[in-house]
Amino acid sequence: MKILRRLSVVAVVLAAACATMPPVQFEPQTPNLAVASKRNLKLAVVVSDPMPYDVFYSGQACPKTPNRCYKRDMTAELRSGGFPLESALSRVVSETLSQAFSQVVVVRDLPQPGQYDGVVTLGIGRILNQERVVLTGETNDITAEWTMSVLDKQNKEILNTKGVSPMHNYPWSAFNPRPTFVKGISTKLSLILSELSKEWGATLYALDFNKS
Amino acid sequence: MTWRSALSLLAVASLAGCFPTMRAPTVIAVSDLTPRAAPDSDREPIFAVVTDRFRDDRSSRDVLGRYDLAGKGGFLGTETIVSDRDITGVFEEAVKSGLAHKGVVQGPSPFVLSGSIRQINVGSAPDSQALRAEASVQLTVTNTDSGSRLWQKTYIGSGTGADPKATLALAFQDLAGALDRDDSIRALRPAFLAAGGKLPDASAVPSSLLASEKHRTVKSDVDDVPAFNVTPRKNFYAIVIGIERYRQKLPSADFAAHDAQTVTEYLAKLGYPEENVITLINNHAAKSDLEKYLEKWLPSNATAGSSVFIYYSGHGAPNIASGDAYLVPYDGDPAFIDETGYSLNRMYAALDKLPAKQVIVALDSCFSGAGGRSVLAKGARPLVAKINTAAIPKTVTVLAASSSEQISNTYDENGHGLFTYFLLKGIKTKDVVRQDGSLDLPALFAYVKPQVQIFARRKSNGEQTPQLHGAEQGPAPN
Repeated sequence: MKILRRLSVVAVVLAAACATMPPVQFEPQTPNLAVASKRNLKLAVVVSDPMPYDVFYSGQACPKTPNRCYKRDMTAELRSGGFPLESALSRVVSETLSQAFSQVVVVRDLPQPGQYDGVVTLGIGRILNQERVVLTGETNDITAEWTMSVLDKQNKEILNTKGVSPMHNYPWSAFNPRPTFVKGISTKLSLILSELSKEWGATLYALDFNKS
Repeated sequence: MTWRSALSLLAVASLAGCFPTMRAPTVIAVSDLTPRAAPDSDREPIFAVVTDRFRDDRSSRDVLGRYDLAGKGGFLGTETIVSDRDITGVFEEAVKSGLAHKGVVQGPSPFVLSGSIRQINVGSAPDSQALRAEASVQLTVTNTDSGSRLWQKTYIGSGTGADPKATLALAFQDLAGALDRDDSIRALRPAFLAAGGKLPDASAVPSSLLASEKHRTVKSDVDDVPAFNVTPRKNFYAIVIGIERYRQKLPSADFAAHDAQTVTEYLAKLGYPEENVITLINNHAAKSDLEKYLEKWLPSNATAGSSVFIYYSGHGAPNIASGDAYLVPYDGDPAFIDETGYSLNRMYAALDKLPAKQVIVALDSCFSGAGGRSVLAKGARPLVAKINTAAIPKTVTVLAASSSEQISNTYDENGHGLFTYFLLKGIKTKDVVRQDGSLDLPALFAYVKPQVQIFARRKSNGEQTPQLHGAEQGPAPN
């Protein structure tokens, strides 16, 4: 009876393993930039679609013991299951920056010089899920690398910066790994997009677009 | 194993999904990236760009593709499948080739093309036993006079398959195809002309700018690389250098890049592990590159049992005062050859320090001082020097394209240096490859020397006598 119970648990886990990755849904909240007044600037925000990001899962042994480190590139399966990062990023950035600038247009390709007062190119690089085993179970720390370049009216670069988002943590269940994994990514990456939008918005609001 | 640890392992397995078994690590080749365009899709040059070195902006150089179920520790066998140490060079060549189809050539220009490698992924696709790969690059054209960024595009290619290398190759080809299909860069021609760029038609394009394209229209019998019955050797190392275009305004060393590419392909078939072969072409062969790989990389890797092969195709120059011979790197200037060249003596000294059991140097360059640069015949590779054979260490064997008073010719009909063509043909058709992948140099030389002499007389009514010096000695040096 005991063996039967164990086998049934294994069967459930294996069934979960081969199940389709459910689609990730991002719902980032638009942050409040709390600016006194809009700057009278027309900005283009370039968000390429598809965006060249990747999603990595890194086991708890990484990076302390590289020879026993399990890593997995999950980009392909997440993209094929639905990973609308580009549209979520476009929306939240557009709404955020619109609080600070008179006009914000999200485009896919670089506009010609002179079309806008400034051009902001945003990119998300690696989205890293770092497994961590804690007393109460397994959790993942999630971070996203980002890049931002800013061009002036003549498309001359005035800022090129990159960074890593604040880390967030989500639990996932060994008995229900994929749904909990997707839920964790959906909620925490949404939060990260909101935080990054606020950080970018504050940076751009303070930036001198005529400094070149 | 406890009940809890078993469950944890299963959980990891479940996250890993139902993945296929994959094969050995591999390397992506330029040919995997090059657009497969029809010959008639080549266009007239519309403008020129200077290509900057691409940046590898990936977060990590890991490209994972293997999940070894049999590995110790269950799922800990993840393996990197792209081991190419210079993936930027692969992207650069592919992008150049793709843009050439659009009429965007390499050359003097106010426009600079730069690239940023963003991503290379291989992962298992859900609901199937397939892999899915992605590769992406962001290209930017900047007007260096104004500093304005004129054009920027991100291209992503993807492919699906079962084998990691084939799947990744599909992604690269899809990437190249995306570049080929997108004509937006052609819209920069008016801006190029407005910025003072001059390139009205193909006849105005200096041959040096189109040199890299030459070989694509010349198909030679030695370009079909044969399979040799050899055992791969982990301790075989090679540095292959081909410099066809130079930063300074030097004549083009026609087909030198193609020579190097083909020699690299032969070495792979001769059992040289791909990660042990460094190929430096054109702007990747600056003086610092030669120093780095000849004086740092090679000593760090070669061991007592190693075989080392050095190949050079390109210009050389003399120090008129000392008579020392120099290889001319991509950034070399014959007017300041002591400072900007890489001397043969220095190279031989570096090779002499290696503990390797065999070192072979093949030089497809001229060793003539007659006339200097200004009066050299078209197609000559003017290395104006006299070889100081006394400097060749006893452990090193040197195969040279010609003797010290001669010039080395090209074999235009076959798209190679004359010496390199017959060197490859000898390797391909004569029984000179031993079971362990090493070459029977005296036998190879016995074939190459008369062939080159005959064709040089027939082609240019001149003399070109290949030389064999050093350890696996042939005749006395000239």
